[in-house]
Amino acid sequence: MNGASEVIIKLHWVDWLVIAAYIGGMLWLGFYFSRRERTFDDYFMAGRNVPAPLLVGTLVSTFYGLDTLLGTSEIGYFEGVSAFFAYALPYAIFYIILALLSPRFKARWPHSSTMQDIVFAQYGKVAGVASSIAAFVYSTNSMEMMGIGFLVHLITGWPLWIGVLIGAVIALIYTYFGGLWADIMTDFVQFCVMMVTVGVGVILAWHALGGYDGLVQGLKAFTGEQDISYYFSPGAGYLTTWTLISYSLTALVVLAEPAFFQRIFASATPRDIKVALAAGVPMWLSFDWAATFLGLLGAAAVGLGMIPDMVPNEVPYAVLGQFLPVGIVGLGFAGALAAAMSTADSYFLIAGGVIGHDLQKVWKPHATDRQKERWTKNGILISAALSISLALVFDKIMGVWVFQATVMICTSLIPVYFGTFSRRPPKKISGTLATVLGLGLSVLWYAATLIFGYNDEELGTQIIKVGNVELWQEYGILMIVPLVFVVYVVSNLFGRKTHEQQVSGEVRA
Amino acid sequence: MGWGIFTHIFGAIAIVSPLCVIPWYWMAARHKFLTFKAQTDAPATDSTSPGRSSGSNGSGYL
Repeated sequence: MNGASEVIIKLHWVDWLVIAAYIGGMLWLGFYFSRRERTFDDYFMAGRNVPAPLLVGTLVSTFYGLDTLLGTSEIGYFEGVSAFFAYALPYAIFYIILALLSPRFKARWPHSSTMQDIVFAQYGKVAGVASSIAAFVYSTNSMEMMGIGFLVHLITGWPLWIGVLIGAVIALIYTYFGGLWADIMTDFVQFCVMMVTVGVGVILAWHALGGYDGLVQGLKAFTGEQDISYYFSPGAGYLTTWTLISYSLTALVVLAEPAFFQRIFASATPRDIKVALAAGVPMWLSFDWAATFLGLLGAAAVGLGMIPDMVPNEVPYAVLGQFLPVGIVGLGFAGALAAAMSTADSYFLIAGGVIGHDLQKVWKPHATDRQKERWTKNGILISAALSISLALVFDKIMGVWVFQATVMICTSLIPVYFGTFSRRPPKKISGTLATVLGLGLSVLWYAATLIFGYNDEELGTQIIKVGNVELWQEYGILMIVPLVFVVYVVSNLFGRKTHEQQVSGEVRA
Repeated sequence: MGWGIFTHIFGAIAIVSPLCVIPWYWMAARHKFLTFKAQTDAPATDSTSPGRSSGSNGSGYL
């Protein structure tokens, strides 16, 4: 793939013009805002004054990137509608829960900038650092970089690494200079472009294939089987019950999502973030449905010989390239680029904030705004370098995502929610043990499955055998989260109170 | 046939929902641009002093 030089999808010059206009617009916004920021709050939190309409665009486009488009369509390509019902639908439940809880976070922590701030404030340095490391790992953008590399390769024939570099440099420029305001303003444009193009693309592709009958014919030809009913069965495919539960549990990451928390704290009022999250739910679901059916329609189109047989990650691009008209194809590719860049820029900034805001509190507690901004920008560059490197190493999108989600959920979810919603102040030891254990075990589990397990190419995962039991890499979340929960609760019951907690208890008494 | 109906419904939501938010976005963005312009016209202040360090609750952790 890296050395390929064949152009898979040829674009009209009008399409190139649309893509160029899109990239130029993003860069202009970044430079515009870079000249108007004065404090670290302006740069990292957009002045804590972001209204609901701007939040909708940035929330939807940040959380849904190319990993969603490609990951969901990849499952749709092989397994059908279970991509939507088993994988995407559980997320909707957690969006609604977060929408309901977000005003309480905003009210409880009005001066926080990141989710890690809560962990630092409630449990101290060790827990804060562990939570920050998890946020940095989670914010690594390898999936988006990989997706942009694929995209550029498809329309130019250039090697993957060139596309990865181009995407990283563009997203870096406006994020580095413009901060969260540039991120939010570009996210909205990217949100519109990506939503409209997948919506138009899936409807046009549906008709181009001849509707349901054409889809069924195509899937029969693609699989070589007469019975393709599992493509339309919500819980079908290679996914076992436990894998379905594991994939569904990754939806818990919505509740511990660093970009969501940054936007909760950057919102103008608690009501703004609640409205924005609630408004995002139908938009996320429609994107998931479109991505799922782009995968299904792609498989059918391959079966009917309308597009060449290719790796699943390239199928949504091929479908959009095949069925969208001139000009709209350019918009389609700008949409795919937008999906990747809106996610990449946000997570570059989050990763930068981990270093410039969270970790700097440990080595330099009284840093000035300028020092924080400088280190946040350094963090953005470090994260970009790491993301590019990983993008050229990993080649399975869902695998990366499940690892990152596992690390984030296992490390931060329980301490953050108990630390915010429990009536009594939590014991420091409980958060410290929970974060360190969650981070350590999730990394060890993935390392163990890579070292001692074997790769099942058909199932596309690492499996480790314990006696007669086969444990998939994805099961880690099922084992570690309950363990972290027990450790947190027990240590909170029996742990010693800190001096501050004793004083606070005496005052209350 | 139900799959086709849902594909059209979700496709329409994907197309229409961002377009519905655009006027709302335009007003908010315009307000922001005007605010930034007013700030740019106003005299600049020092952003490097520790006292302006934002988001601090005094504990050193926020």
